Amino acid sequence: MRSFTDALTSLLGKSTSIRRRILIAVSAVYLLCSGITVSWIYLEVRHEVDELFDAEMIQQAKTLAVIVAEPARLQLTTSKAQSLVVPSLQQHSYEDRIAYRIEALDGSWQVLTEGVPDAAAVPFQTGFTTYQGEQLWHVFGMLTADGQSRILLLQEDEFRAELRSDLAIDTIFPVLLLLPLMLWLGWLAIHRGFKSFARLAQQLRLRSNNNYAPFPLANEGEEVDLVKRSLNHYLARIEQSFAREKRFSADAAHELRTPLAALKVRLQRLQESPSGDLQQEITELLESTNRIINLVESLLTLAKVEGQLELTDTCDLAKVWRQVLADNYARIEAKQLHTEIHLEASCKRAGAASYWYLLCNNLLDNAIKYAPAQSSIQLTLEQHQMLLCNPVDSQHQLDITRLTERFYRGKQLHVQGAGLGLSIVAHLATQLQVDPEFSYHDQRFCVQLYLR
Amino acid sequence: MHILLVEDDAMLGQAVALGLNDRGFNVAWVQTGAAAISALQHHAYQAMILDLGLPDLEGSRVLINCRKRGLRLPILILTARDNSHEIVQQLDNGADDYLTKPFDLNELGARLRALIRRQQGHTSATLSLGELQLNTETRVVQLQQQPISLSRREFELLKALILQPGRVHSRDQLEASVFDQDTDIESNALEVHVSNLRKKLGNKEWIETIRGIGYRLKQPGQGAQ
Repeated sequence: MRSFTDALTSLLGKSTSIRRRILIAVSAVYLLCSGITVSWIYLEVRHEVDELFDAEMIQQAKTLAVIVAEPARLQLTTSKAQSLVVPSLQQHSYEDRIAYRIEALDGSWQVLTEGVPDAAAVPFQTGFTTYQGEQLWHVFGMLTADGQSRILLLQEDEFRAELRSDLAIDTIFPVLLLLPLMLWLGWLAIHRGFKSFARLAQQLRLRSNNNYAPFPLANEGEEVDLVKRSLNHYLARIEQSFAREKRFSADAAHELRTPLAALKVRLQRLQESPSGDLQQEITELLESTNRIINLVESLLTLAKVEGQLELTDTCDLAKVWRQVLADNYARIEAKQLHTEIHLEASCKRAGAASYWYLLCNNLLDNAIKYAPAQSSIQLTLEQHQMLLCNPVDSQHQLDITRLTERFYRGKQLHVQGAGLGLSIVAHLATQLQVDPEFSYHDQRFCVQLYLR
Repeated sequence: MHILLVEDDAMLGQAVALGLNDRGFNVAWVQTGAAAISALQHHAYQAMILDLGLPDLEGSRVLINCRKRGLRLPILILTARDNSHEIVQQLDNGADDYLTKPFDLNELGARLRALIRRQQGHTSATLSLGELQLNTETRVVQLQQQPISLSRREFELLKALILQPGRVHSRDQLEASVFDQDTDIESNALEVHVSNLRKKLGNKEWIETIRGIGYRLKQPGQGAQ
């Protein structure tokens, strides 16, 4: 029993399908119950068969005592013979499985069937005993009514065993025959029961990213309703969380931008006033303020792209790149950079153009910042991938595994920036379902985006 | 130029008022929406700078109130929010321009002057670049004071380029300016118009091709043949 439960546990543990697990468990329980039932029936049948045949042996012994014992004694006394062997007729296969031995108490005569064990092998004993020769024999012994002779009746156990086996097989056969049918019916019932879950899974798969509407409870079963209620609760929490994040971004934007605007305007006024020695310091303060403004804008952008973006629109990535290049062309020229541009005529992708613009603009901004003057930037846009490469000064040191970390700038602290650009790119790439790959070999930095 | 500034933040409001005064504006500064509505009832202003996040009522309510009362003064929205939906909504509500905080004081002054000029009908219909002149009303183009005959699309193309000379325009931007939204555009249609325009201007180098990106207009006279 223990090995059965161990095997069942192991089998259930290996299976990942709940339907299969239920089916295996139900089949196992069915087989176990059937096995116990069959064993019970077999033991009962054996007992009843033994009872029946033992009763029959008693009746046969009594009959032999009346019909055979006295005439045989007279016949043998008259013919002065000592024993009479009843030969086998070879008419039935069971013929040799029943035998008897009738003999005088003083040993003066005996009548016996051919092949019966002799007195040395099976000595007379009243009542039921067993004898284990080549086969197991059931033995019944009794004295005749006049007390002059005794009868020993023997029955081979195989004679009974065949009947027991036949009865047991007849019982277990329908159980085994019905098992596939039961499994099929069970599978159908489970499959039907799980259809509601499959429908729910499909609804979840087809949901748009920003749809937090609750699933209607459609009386599809207690279990499905339970899952739906939990899902609805979870969706409501996510929606609240996103709403909080959006509010936070809006509030943070207002709270940070207004004092920065005041600071910048005041510094601009000071810069314009004739303040003599302080001019240089005011200019530096204004530069620092502009850096803080850029940092705050980057942080707000990062907070925005870390939230859930809507991907309902589609845009042409080739158009976006042309716009990004056009908007940054003055900076490219100022650094005397060469551009090698290969853009597909059109490359449609899911996601609003403004998100793609932000991603591409951050990548190009980085390339322009870090490419040495008069070097070359390469951009290739194909239907399934995008590649942007630029050389990097040999003094720059980059840890490629940390590029998308917030505020990571390597050792390029002299280059203006907050170290958030590629972090924004990574978040946008995830949201826009593209896989970015960064590489840095031989002073050449490349970003490859695999467009799914 | 008499301007009404509506800004609740004391530091910013004071600095902007002083900065604009330095630039020749006469600024009246209030800190609440109610004060702005009251000021507009009692004084005539040539323009209003309106912050959206006010303590008593939203700047958008002040804007709607102004337009409902038939006040036609130019209104420039100052906002710390960069939500494009909200900006579009304010422009639809009757705002004339917007500026996102933090901003450049010079840019704010320039935008105000442009708004007031437009309001007073002083905006010139003539766009010039060196020896090249383009009149958006009469649709006459002159080079060295000699008229040039341009097709409708060549005119629109030149107008788009001359509005921001020296700036690179992507081909998609120019296509949007030249062709109607519903027109099926041949892949080389823009190149054909650019080529024709170059021929008519008599100098191929004025309209520079930026390979893979678009075009830009150099000042006629620069790099002339």
